[in-house]
Amino acid sequence: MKMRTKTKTKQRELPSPLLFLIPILGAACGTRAAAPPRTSALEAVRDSGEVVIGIGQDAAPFGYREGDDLVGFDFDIARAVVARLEAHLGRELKIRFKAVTDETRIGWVQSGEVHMSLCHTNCTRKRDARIDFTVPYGWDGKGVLYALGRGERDLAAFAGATIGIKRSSSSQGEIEAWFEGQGLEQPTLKVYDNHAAGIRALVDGQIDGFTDDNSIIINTAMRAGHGVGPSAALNVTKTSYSRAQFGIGLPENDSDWRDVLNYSLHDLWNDREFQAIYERWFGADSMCPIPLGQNRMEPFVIG
Amino acid sequence: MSAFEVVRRLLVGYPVPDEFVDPAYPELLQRLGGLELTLVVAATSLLLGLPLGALLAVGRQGPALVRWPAVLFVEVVRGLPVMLLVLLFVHLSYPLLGVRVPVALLGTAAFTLHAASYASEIFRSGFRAVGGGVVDAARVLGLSRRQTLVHVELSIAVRTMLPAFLGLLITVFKDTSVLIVVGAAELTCTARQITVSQPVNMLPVLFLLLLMYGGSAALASLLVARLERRWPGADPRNDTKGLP
Amino acid sequence: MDFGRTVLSEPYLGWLLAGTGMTIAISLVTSLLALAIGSFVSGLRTSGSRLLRGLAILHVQTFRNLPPVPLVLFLVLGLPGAWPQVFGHDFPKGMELQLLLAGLSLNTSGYVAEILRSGLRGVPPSQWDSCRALGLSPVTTRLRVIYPQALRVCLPALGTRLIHNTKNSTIALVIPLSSGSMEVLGQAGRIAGESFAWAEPLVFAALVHLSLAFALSALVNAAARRAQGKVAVAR
Repeated sequence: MKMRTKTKTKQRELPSPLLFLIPILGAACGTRAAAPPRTSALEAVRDSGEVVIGIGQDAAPFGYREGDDLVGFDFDIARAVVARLEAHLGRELKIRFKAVTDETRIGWVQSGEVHMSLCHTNCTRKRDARIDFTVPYGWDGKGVLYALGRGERDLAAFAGATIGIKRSSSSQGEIEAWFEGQGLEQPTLKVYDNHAAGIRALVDGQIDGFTDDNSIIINTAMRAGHGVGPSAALNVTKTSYSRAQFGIGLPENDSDWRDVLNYSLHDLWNDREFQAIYERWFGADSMCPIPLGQNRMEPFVIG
Repeated sequence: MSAFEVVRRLLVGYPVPDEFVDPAYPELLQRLGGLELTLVVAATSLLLGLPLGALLAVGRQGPALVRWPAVLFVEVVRGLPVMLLVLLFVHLSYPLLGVRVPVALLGTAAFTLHAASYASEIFRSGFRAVGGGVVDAARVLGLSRRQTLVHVELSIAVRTMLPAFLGLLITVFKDTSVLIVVGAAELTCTARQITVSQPVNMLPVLFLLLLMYGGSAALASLLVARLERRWPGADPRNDTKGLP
Repeated sequence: MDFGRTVLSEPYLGWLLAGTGMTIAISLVTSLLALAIGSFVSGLRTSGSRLLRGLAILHVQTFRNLPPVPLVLFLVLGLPGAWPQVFGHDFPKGMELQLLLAGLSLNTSGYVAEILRSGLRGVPPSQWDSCRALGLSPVTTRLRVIYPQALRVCLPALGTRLIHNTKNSTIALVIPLSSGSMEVLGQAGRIAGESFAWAEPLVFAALVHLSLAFALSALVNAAARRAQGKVAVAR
């Protein structure tokens, strides 16, 4: 039976759609779509009364799930900073949290999708080239978590071993720099997209060590039910391959916004509210105590 | 965490603090989690994707000016992995459009396009099934225009396309698992959240996850197969329609 | 969008090209494995034993109804923990890639088995009778007459499924891999981690996948056209 074919589906009717994409992409190359916002975030926040904060949800003790709630150092600092911000701006502000991951915490600040991001973000020069940071609000070191089956080990023993790192953390460059500086064989780095999976792999013997900021790996391991310490199942190397200091990520070259946020942090320090929050998460009773010690904010005087 | 609690979490996800909800967008998609969110995303994507797919299918019958963009759209969207489509939506929405959209909505938008491109193919096969001499034969046999429409064209169209659309729904339901890479709180991501936040054995939770997907999909596929058997008049060309 | 900084410069371009190679490798290996497993399983379907037939049906139902992402997560994250409890010794290290290949192949094989089966059903029964009448041996019947016709029938659907399998290679994003062995989307993420720009590497990865999909469908269309008239391959 001859079918009445009104539309003959010729497979070669069109040139490959790819050819159409080339001019489209060429035009796209010319645009500067991800340019930093021209108006200060301060203006945007003051006008809208809403501050959009990118916040991490996957890393204890900074931001994580405790039962039904989302808690963490970053959450407490964010809320405290916004309270001080209200005083500086002279109006009430509504917080809107947007969940960011390590992959999006820098890019979204850069594009302006969030006004600031608190996601245990280490201040590195590479990141500072793209966004700005407030004064540090947290301090830590980076060692390697390992299983104590074969006795205590230090960092040098991991030459040539397999170490898990967190995707989009600054660990890769820092580890490679340390081992190169020591003249040791580079370890193989396996990239995990969350800390718990990496620690699980460590416990299962799939990797020799896992690394990120000490407070995060210790907290995550302990919350997963593994003891961490010289006499427990897991331990952290005594030597750190890098320091870390955490800052709030801000859009690049937005002086007004950065100033007011720095002053908010300074206010928290002067009123000792910061120290109280810090004590709750990194104090002597916490899972990973990090005494403030030499670390301090240097608040400006009014002048 | 007891098994009951794990199942409950997998079904409804985690509660969302108010500060995370954007009032400018539907609150439902932002507050749901777990299997509930998976089902809502799949259903919404299909509901929105079907009309779009119909438009695309009709567009392909039209003049070249309409046909070429329609074909380009469908071919590009079908050539891209869903994960890539979702990532493109999540990372390009603000730089290109300047709007801050919640992740669950961006995921739904991506799946809407995905569903629409497959739906347009189903509509086209529906048009083909109705084409040919069937309509003419009905008129010659004395059926009125209205009778032809209802008893012949729509009937053939529905029998051909409905099982395929249901199959598409099941496919989209399964594909929503890729939303884990953007952190939308659907079933797979919730399962991972459970293993991250509790000292719980990963294997049982992941096994439960497989059961939930596999069980739902198997049940739904069974119902669709039964439906296809009850409508033997459907287009036999749909047997190996090549839908995922 | 600044392609010059994030995509077209070294070392990023090198990473993306390595990733493209990996995507092609994953797609090739999983496609071949899926075809092998799928043929075997669809062969089981016609066996005399009820058990083997049941196993074949179970295989198809399981892997068609399980989405690949949870399956791969189960294999890579769940298996190494449970292995010592069942088998006594530790699960071997560094098997993430192999487990991914296994998961993807199994998933596609479920569909392949079903496609091959309907291909076989599409061969008219008169063919079998004619072969018997001509005195051809069962092996010759299958290899020279039945299977080529079956393949002709199901080639478009098979092609569609293999293209879908290629797209599935992006699932490698959910498992831990070393930077060197990531496929193109993983490399795009790696670049984004360093340059903080997602858009351009994503577009590159999209172009790679589109090119692969079109190349594959053109290939399958050409093959199908050689076998019979023009057949539309759905992507």
